[in-house]
Amino acid sequence: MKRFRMLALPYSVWMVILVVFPLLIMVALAFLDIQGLDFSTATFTFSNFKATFDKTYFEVFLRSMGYAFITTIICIVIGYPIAYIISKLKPTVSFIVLLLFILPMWTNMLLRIQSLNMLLLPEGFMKNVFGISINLSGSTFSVILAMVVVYLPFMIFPIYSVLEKQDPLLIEASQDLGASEFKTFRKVTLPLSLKGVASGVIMVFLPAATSFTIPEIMSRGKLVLIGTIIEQKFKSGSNYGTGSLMSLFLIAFIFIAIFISNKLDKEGATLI
Amino acid sequence: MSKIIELKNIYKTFDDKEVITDLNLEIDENEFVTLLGPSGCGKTTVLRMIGGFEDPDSGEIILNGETINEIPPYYRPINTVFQRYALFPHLNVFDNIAYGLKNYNRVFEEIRSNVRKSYDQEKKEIRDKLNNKETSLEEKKELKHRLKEIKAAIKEKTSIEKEKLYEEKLADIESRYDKLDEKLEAKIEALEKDEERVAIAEEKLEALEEKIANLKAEVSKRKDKQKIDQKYKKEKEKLERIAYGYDVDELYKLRKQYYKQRKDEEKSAKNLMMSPHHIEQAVNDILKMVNLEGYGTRKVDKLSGGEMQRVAIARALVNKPKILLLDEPLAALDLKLRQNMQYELKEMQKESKITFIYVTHDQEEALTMSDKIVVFDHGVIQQIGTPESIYNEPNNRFVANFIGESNIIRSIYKGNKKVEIFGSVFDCLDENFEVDEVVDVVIRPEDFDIVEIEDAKIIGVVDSIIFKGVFFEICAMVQGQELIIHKYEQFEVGDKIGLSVDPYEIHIMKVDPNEKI
Repeated sequence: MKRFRMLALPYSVWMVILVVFPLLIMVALAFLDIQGLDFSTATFTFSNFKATFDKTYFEVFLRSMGYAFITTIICIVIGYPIAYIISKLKPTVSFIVLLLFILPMWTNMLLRIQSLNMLLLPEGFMKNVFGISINLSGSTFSVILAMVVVYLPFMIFPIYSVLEKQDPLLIEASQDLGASEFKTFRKVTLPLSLKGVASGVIMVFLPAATSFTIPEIMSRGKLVLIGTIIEQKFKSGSNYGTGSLMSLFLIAFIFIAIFISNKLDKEGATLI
Repeated sequence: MSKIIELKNIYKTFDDKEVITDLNLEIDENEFVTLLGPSGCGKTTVLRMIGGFEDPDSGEIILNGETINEIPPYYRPINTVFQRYALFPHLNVFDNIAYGLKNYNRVFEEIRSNVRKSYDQEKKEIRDKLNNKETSLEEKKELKHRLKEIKAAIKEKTSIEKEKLYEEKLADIESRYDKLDEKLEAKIEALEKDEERVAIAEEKLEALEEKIANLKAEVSKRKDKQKIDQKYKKEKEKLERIAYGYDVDELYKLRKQYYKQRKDEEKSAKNLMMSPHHIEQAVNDILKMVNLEGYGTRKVDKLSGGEMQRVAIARALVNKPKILLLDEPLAALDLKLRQNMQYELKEMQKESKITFIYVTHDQEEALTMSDKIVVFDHGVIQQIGTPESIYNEPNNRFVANFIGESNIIRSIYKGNKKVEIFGSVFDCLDENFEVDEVVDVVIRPEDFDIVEIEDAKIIGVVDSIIFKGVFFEICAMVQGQELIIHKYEQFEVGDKIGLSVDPYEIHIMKVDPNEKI
């Protein structure tokens, strides 16, 4: 196997250039007072910490978590039954249904969000075609709707793959031992599929918590989430240091979240 | 013995392929029955129909006199040991075994079954009428209404019976625990009143402590001091128990525990379920029975194949089903383990007095364990009988070939208990054949006798000889047909041997008219 080690080289180089190196720069930026990326005039400082631990940012952070939490819950509630039904379909049919969920993911996410936004405009598609006037564009609802639409497949797939792999003999065994269909679901199918739910939660919660395009477009700039703030820090060009530090904190948070959910997973399905 | 389950005119097709054709089978209580046949013969389908996982296309499954075709598996008093064990990976051994006790309500189902039984006949008649084309629409409507009424009546009667039983159980719990409590109360009172006892113990304890201190003062090493402590430890503890009132505390604790158990039992009695401490006891008992004492908290994926097998058996058996179904449960085990398990299963069956229906394609397994063997081929029963009768008197070519090794020789029945085999006439015990009828004769390899060539009625030439451990397997050619003979003597290839057969070793079968040769 040693001979093939060299095959990993391009990937390693790639990782160093695009992941490790930028991360190091971000760590450096976090401790610098810097104008743009002009390292020649930069000075060492802790002022970025002061700026990051601002009360308003903390509120934004909590708000982001709140939105991500609601999105995740809705995704579980809608996604689990869908995954369950697909797993019970014949293989040929389930393939087609899965394809229906995958297909939109091949379109650019920005396009999808934009068109969704258009649907919700008061003088948009709904008015022209159905004559119904709705005004949901820019609302909180529209942000969550877009998040659910975009991230739902990431909840469905892991749950589906766990359910599909489940031994049907276990269900027979449960019924043989006196548990009705519903009881069998509650006591066997559900606990054994929580692994899939856990990975689905990671796949939905994390991007939802850090998303900036969806709130930006759907709320038409009214809703500010943590992703938006970080984006602004970099985009306005003035505050790379604070932006870097915020990003680092978010990365740390994500790692802690993954670590905890992995821990929960190992303990098995008994926890929830 | 009375019959426990009956299969009547069962037909079953899968994708236009008939797998079970007109099956009729009766199984008695407390019997070890094996369904034996090659893979794909329909034996597993029969098992699954009894378990409720497959519906017959037509025919009836009658359990204890009640038609159970419509009853789902989770209401049937039948449990299964699956081939691949199907243990729940998210539960430990204890919870796997307790699963049935927590979910299956044996007492309630028994009540309900008894109530249902009284309507069984009427329901059957209504269903027949509903299926009859001549029944008018109006009549059908009435009949359907009646069916609904029956359903409601069953529900009502069952709940009345349930209430009755609940009252009985409550009364039983009350009297049991009242007695226990009374006894405890008396004990506690006696102990608490006896102050003298405590005083004496205190005195003695003081004396003992002094003694220990004195003894310790005499020695200097720490080791020796510890030895002294060790020596008097038990005595000291005994005295302390009385002096400090620990014994009374223990009784109070016990009383508390009884109180909790009583509440649990009362709660469980409401649904006629087993209470938690009874479940615990039942699980521990069954673990002992399958030699897995102390395994309760283990994870099932950490068990060996044999242990998983035992857990699977325990999980089914702990529910005390009317029938235990076993679907090739030993197939995945190695030879030695398999042989041990065969005896153990037989023992378990005898001990538990539960009817076992065992499916296998292994004839040796079937012969070892069964009271009764049902030989299957192509969805049709070929023969039902004890292991001896199946082995010694096979019904047809299939059974003779499938069970053990056999030589089947086309012969002619000569009448008067005589049969012509390879041109020589032999005495036999079978009758009931026409004179000059062409028949098949079955002779088992071990039943041939080797005799002097001059006395022999059949002469064969040794074609090959293989050492099989206990005996030699000899293939000998006789008039163009190969015979297999098991003997202790060794021969050389090409040797001529004389063969003879005793009359009682000759079994004659009718020639199957459909058979192609």
